Amino acid sequence: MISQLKEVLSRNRGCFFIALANLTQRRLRLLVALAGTAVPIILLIMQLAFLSGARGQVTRFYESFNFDIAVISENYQFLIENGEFDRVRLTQAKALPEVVETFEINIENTRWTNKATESDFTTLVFGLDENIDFIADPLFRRGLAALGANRAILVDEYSLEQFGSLAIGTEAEISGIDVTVAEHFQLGLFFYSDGSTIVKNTDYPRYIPSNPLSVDIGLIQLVPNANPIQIRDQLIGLLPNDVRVLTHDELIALEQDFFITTKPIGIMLQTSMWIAFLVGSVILLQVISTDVVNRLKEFATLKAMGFGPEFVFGIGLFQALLLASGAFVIALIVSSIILGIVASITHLPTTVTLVLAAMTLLIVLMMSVLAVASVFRRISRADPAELY
Amino acid sequence: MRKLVSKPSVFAASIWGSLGAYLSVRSSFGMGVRLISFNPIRLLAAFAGIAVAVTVMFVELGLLTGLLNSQALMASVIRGELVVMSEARTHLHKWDNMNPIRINQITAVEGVEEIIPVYQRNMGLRDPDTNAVRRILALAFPPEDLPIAIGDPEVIIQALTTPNTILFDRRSRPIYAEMVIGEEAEINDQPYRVGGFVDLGPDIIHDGIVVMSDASLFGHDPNVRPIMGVIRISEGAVLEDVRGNIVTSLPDDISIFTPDELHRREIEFTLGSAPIGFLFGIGMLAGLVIGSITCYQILFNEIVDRLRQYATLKAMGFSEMFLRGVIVEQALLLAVGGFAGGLVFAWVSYAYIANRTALAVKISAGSITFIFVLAAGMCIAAGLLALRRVSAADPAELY
Repeated sequence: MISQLKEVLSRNRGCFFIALANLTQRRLRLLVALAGTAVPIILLIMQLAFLSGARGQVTRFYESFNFDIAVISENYQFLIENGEFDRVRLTQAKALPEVVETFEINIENTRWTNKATESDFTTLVFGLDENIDFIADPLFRRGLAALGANRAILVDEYSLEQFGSLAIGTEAEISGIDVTVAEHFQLGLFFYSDGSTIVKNTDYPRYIPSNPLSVDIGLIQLVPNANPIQIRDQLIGLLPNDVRVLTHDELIALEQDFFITTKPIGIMLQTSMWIAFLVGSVILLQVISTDVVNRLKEFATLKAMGFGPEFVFGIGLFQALLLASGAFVIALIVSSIILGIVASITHLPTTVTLVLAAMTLLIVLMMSVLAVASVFRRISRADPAELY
Repeated sequence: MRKLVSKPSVFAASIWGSLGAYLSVRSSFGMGVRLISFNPIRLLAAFAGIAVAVTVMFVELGLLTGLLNSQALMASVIRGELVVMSEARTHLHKWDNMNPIRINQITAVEGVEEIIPVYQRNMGLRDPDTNAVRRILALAFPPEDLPIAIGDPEVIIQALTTPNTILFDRRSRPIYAEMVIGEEAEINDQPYRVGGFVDLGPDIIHDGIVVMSDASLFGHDPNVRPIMGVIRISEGAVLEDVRGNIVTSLPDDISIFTPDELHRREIEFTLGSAPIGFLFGIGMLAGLVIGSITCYQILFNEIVDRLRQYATLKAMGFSEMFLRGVIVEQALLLAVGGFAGGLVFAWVSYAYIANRTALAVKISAGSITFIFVLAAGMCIAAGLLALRRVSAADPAELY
């Protein structure tokens, strides 16, 4: 089988050079074809990156923590609408020997006042425990260490610009109460609020009147080598059903799923992505097949001269693949630039990841093969005499 | 063919300037139709291609305008000539309140018939089945006249005059329990009676809205301050005079707008300052570019594939003008056919998006015109550009 393939390839090595010559015969035409092929690929890469960027963004907060298992209220919808549950549930969880430590997070949207402009905005207030082992994000760690007394808070550098100067020592108000900026972190949750702030859980009730017996989200660390799925099942059995117990990965999946299927921005980004995928593929097919169709007469001539079908098909295939790969490289460069600008403005992690690039390349190559196959059908049906 | 050649006006066209051009286009009429309908499968493919391009343009445009209009929704339902709000409230999703005394001061300004204060507050609506509390935006105003167009004024005022009655926005996202008129709903742990429904619609931040009288809201929070005031001017008063009177007689801690100005300001803010506007703005631009290029590409191929026939016509003595007429006709036919298909796809996509997001994603006369002109323009431009190759080509070389 492999030796057969090798033989076919060596017999048809000329295909590659003919395809290359076909493409480079007219420079301007090549440029137009490359540009035409690159545009749908750019659209595709951009929309895929937007969606994956948004997915990453909505779980950026959770990814700032080290935890194996999360305990949330049965009413939990997403980060901001999280319901609340009795703190005793976390103490109960400690009954399992594998549960090493628990960590409490409180979240509420409230009012931020820029004192310089006397202007109000919405801000998320995150109340965190002080156990530094749970904090993965270096900026969160540095910030929590800097949180002394005296109404010190941490503020998100990626908050809305109109939040005012966020330099250390700046005074502002949260829920009408004076606060001082002690340090910064980076989050950029503009999907949900104008900005975010972090305080210690011991200070949290000062800004957010809440039931001291309840907590919004509980995180759990397990002993090394414990199986989170097994412990999760044990915890579900142990705790009453006013809480849900999820592994780290399940919480991340739940959060992203909610954003994509329920929040309007997620739905819109996903619709956009599907449309880009559909349209991009169709246009790719169209552009590539046009490029090959333009050589229909030459292909038919070769066929009439007695060249085998795989030779003629090989030329078309190489031509399409060369064009598609060239356009893919161009598209990758252009979309990286555009996405870099988007990332710097929106702080969304919209970088072109390896997975994303590979996925797009696969789609592009598939469309190339399809395009050539559709053209090849026309060649095999065409009567050379009729073409002239 | 025979019929066309027998028409002498075709030859006269090139001499008679613009009148000739008109006539030649007219006399070539019907040829474009026959050309493109020669191969029905090919025609369908071209229609489908353009329809896809039109769909992507509509969807990307619709997502952006839906987002912008939903964010500016409040400005488009104002029932009054002027709106006043805190000077610090630089867009409609800010919570800067007004000093309530400003409402009274404006009442006294010459030319002001009345001013209706509007209050808003985030509250929690409890689902009696699951006991879950969902955030909901409460809007309140004195139940004497409606400051915003959200349904039949008489019915709404009638309902709101009953204390502790709420009206539920029926366009709210389906995350709340079902509301039944006459039954109880628990908001911020207090019972209210559901008195009916209004039509407003959520935006990207708020999932739902309840409307109540100002007195009901004061029951929760006696210190709540107006978020805006809707001003009606007296009969015969000139809008700009009244605005001038208010600006000169009040301190500068308020801003005053006509509803149109407010709407425009909100859209400019969302596009210019909010990252979300930027995200979907880029999406729309990409959609328009790719849609236009596709229309161009399809038409270009249509014409190039018939280059030999056109060259033959030219060699037979048909004027350039005549050929242009044929191509414009083809371009328009393909554009119309493809556009009609695209409009149907777009309508389905819009229905899906509107249903899922509850945002104001609608096909407007403006977007139809814009996209049709863009699609048809690209088709015609592509056709005429391709025709230049006919002019350049030597018929003998084509064979």
